[in-house]
Amino acid sequence: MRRIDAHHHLWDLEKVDYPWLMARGQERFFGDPSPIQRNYPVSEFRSGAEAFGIEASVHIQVGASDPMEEARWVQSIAVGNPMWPAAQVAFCDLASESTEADLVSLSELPTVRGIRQIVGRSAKEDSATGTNRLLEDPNFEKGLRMAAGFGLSFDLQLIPELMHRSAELFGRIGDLPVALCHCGSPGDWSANGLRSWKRSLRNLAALPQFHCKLSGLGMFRVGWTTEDIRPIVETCLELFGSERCMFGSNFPVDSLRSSYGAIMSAYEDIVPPGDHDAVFGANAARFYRI
Amino acid sequence: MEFDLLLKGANLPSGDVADIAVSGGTIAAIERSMDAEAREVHEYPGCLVAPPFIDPHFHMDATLSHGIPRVNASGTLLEGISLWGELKPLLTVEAVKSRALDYCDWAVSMGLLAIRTHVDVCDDRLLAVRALKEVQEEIAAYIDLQLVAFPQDGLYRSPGARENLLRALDLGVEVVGGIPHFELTMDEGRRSVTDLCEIAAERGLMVDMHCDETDDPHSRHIEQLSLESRRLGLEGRVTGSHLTSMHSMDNYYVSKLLPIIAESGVSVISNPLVNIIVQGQHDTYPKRRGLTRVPDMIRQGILVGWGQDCVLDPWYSLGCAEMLDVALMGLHLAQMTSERDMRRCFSMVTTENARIMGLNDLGLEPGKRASFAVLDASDPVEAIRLRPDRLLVVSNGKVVARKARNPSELLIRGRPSSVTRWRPDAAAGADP
Repeated sequence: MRRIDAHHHLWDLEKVDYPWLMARGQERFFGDPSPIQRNYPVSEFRSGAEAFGIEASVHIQVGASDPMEEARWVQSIAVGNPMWPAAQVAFCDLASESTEADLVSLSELPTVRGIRQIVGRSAKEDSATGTNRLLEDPNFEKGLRMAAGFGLSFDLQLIPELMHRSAELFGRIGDLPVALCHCGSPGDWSANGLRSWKRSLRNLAALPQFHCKLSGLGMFRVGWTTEDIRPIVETCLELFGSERCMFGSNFPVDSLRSSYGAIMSAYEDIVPPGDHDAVFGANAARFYRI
Repeated sequence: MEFDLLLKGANLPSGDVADIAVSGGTIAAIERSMDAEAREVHEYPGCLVAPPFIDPHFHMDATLSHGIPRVNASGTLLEGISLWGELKPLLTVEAVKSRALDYCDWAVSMGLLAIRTHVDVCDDRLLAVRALKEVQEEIAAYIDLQLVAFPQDGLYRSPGARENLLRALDLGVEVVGGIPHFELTMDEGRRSVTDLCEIAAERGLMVDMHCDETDDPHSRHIEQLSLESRRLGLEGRVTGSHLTSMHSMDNYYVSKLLPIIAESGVSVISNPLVNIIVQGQHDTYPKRRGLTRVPDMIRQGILVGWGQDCVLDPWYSLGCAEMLDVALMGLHLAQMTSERDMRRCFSMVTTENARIMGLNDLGLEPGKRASFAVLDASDPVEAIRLRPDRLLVVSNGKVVARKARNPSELLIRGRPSSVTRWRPDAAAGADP
């Protein structure tokens, strides 16, 4: 089984304008971004990933000022590097008047499999961005249905405090495959915090169209260990089942906290050996049609 | 265990993020990331949850009567009082009740869940008292309404007012009011303060007087009110409303007065929306602003709150049960612009007002009544700045109002498709 990294980013600051990579001195919910505010080319990503048996990957949008420009740039990288990335999830404002036209343009790119429009990052940042409101926006729901109509999936990033509300919304759109990013972004790793997250996560796991990406946990804790993330990963495997969980490195954002190897070996240790094929490749290959 | 209601992820006024669990009309717990089942789960991460807004100075018997029988042309307090005199004979219990209930609907939608209203008792029929007692009972499940027996036309100046005030108290009105600066002489005013405080002491009631609501620097009834509070052991139960004359007083005298107020345990309510309009009307220029000395009193340790006073009535042609309008106006007029002072202005329309009204069971703490509002803003200062929608209002454990978030759509090419006007202090560029 080919191993796939189902969640990573690339960027070229000369080719695409990424406002958040240019915003210097702004502490983010995942820490100080300055070490990654530089080009992160596919060659660098590959040299990290291939050492651990990864043979293909899924690029997730990362906040360019012109989302179409980013998607086209990612497409151009894929053209030059077969399987790197093999697929991409692009940004589209699903609540906009131009949603349909944007989806038409994105669908013309062979690597585009899905859309991500972040709903929640952290409570504090969401206060500033107001993205939580999408869950109440009828235009967003319309845009999600439209994406489903284009045969696309949706990458859902949000925080545990939005899971009841989002389960109601996505429960109404059964034909849209959804990949939940970063285990649902559990920010509070106390015993109580994880119990609370698990209780909320059940609402999403109960929806059959949902997959869960085991990714990005390094964003929530400096110096995390395998034992720190074990209960989180095991809970995802328990609630979604190994056939609906996908590994993702979230590089280079997670490189702020650990090496690629440390992430791989932690997940290899936690995921039962019998489930490795599914979690480290087969599920992503099926979900993202690689 | 299963709670009745769980509010997840909202920001407390302190800035902490917490879940609030409600059981049996009471706040059962406030904790970060609560692991609990609840019959109703409400998720508002990033939004401010505030203790209920409280208006400690209002006139519900006159509210929403604007234009009946005519509007106040001069904008002065005195024309307002005489206009109210024209309206009074036309009142019916049904009309007063109906307007009051309409106003209470507005109040609930704004998270305004406790109101102290003065009720004019200078009316042999005690019509407004009877109407508002009925209203009080009808809304008891969701709004705490306190009534003040208010001799609008003067306790001694208006024939029969004292008897009517006592009758109103007999009918269950729970606070003794007064208007010493409107009595015929300074001495009559002073006597009325003593008389009214004695009535309150005898009956075990609270006192809240319109006090020195004038530009006359010699109007010093607050002095007597403070004295009577101490003499009669009423500390913590007496409030002086308005105190606008203090704006015009000599600084030396005020330096003597403020410690006296502080020591007497008298609290103060300033009503900035109305005071800035009705005071200073007799001045040309420079024109006095007519707000009492709020920051000085706070520094002195005096409990001070902001009141709304009027909405669409003979004295004030605007208003919409928005206590954040009051906080915003007060903040400007009192020049309370530091971060700390702005936060104080927020607590002056929530927690400070609860203390003034003696509502010690309201507040965001376990064991207190589950009454709160979720705002479409992230913190108290942003709430004052935006005067945002109340997304969810809970009173005594039950959701009584809610509103979907509704950001403005922008139809400008090359700009975002919607705009919230929240402070852009975090998440520049946002992704990832």
